[in-house]
Amino acid sequence: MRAALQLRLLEARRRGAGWLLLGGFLLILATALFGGGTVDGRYGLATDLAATLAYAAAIGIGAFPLAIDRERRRSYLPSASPVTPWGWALGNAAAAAIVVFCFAVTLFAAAGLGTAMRGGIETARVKSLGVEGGRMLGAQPLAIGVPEGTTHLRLMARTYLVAEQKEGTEEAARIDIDGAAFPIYHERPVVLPVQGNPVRLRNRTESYAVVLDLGSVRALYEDKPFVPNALLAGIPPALAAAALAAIGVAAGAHLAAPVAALALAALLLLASMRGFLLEMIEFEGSLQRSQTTSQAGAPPDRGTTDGPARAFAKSAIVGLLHVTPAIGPLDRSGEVSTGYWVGTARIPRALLLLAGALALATLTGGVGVALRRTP
Amino acid sequence: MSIVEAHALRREFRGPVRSGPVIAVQSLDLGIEPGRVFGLLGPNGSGKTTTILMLLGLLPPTSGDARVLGHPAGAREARQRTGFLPEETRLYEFLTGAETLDFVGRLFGIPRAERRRRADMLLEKTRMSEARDRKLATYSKGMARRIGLAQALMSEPDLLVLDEPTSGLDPVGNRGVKDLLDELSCKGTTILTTSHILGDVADVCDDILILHRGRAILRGEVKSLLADAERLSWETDTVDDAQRTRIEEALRVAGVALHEVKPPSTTLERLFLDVLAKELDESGAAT
Repeated sequence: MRAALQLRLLEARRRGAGWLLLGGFLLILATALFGGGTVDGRYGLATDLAATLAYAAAIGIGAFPLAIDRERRRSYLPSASPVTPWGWALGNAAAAAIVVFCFAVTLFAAAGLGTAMRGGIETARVKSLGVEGGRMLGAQPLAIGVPEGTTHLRLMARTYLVAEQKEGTEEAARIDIDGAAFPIYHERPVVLPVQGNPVRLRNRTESYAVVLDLGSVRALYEDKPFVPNALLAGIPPALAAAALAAIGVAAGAHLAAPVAALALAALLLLASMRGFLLEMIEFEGSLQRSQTTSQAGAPPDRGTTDGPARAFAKSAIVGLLHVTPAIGPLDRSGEVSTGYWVGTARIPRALLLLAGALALATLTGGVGVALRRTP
Repeated sequence: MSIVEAHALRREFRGPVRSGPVIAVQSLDLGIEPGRVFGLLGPNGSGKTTTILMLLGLLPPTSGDARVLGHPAGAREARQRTGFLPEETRLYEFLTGAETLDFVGRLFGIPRAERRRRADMLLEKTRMSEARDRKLATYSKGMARRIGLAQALMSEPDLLVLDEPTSGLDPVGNRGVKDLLDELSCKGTTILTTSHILGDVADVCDDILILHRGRAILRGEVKSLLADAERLSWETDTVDDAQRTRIEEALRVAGVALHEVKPPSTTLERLFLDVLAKELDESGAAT
């Protein structure tokens, strides 16, 4: 594995990856410095461009078709040596991942640096409160303790129209936080100002039942330097891009290019359709809820009417869809453009994606060799 | 025990549906004894490369079995002790000659100091020391071939498998390779080689097997196969006409038919090498 890793890293250096990196860095820096609009807008544009370039690099490295035929002939050398096909595939994949990861992180650093040079944007640190589950908000306040210095609370809630009061209710659901009311939207993140500690939350609308998703509650506090913040926000897409490159390179090197291409296409498709698919699943869930709500008078948990196989399949799909945002476009409206460190919440998912990609790359690489050795 | 053993090897390639499979190798039995230089000969498409790839485990046989160095063909233990020069030297052109040898050494798990020692020695042997730090992209075909040969020797293999080793080499390089193979053979390395150049095969091989359309049509020891029991030749110093007449008379009296009398000629290869050596000597003296 080490021989393949070192060979590929040397190949990247000798084939001019350093110049490409410098070019990309300058391009993103210029965008953040001189792009039109507000500082926030320029930062958003620069990070979008960085993510796009990172994915382009991943696909370029991972699925460069001309390289495949050349590699196939060269592969006699490692194939005739005692190196295992799995080790060779993993080494190739890891090298591609490292190169693309470094490229992507550098581009995001350029975006952060350019924005910081033009005055920067408001940033804050995010801390999870470490509680899970759902909690119904009622007229009585729910007290939540927050860390010292917390200025805002970011949270997500599920809202349900109460069936008996459905007629004539069109205004948005609202919750009261420390005495002030704010609109909330079903399963969308909102950022609310905090006045004291503990924070007191209650439901201000009678038309809606509101269930607070405790796992989504984040405390925003303590200003932080912007460049490291931007750098961290770049890590999830960098990991995702690295994963894509890893799949392509290892599979391409071992003649399983069609498998790699399918894997890439499936991931990109899932990423682009994620919103739509989640909406569909949610729509189905809400249908089931409305059916049972009228009987029980309260919103049941999702999926209670599913059989075990159906529930398993649905949860598997939802799980997969929650991994894909790591490779999808950045959600600037709710997260990165406001400068919060919420982008780092994607890191575990992106790491999961990278681990899966390396495993897939190793598998396809090894299977590719095995297939070639089978008549 | 044979270093390479194969029994009833057969390899088919899928062809167009109507024409059926293409049979590259069929009913091939093979045995190569330790320390021998074994030549696999045959016209293009006769199955030489396919046979080699099957013995290395790079291509599975359709049927039959092969063992290399006491292990099934392609087993890790066998690959650890085998050096291979493919027909087309496809190396990593962004590496230099020295880096290529170092890379191959790492594939075989050779420690760094030993890799360096072997690389220096092999670059010297293949006359590539001066080009050691040049990238392979700048090498001529012959230079790439010589580096290819050097990489096959990096692991100091017990079995060396060479597919057309002298292809693309000039006469000097060709002679160098043959000398190197002689040297390795003397040290006990078993060599399996293919070639189109029959003169090369006659020079270096102990045993040969001729393939035609995937079948073995002739096999045996080179000396025995080339020996002509019906004829005898002498080589003498130059004689004058009177001496020549007396010799011919003596042969006639003895009842021996004389077929040909001619001055011996050198080979073109020998002539080329002598002229080149002389030119190098003179230019060396001038400087």
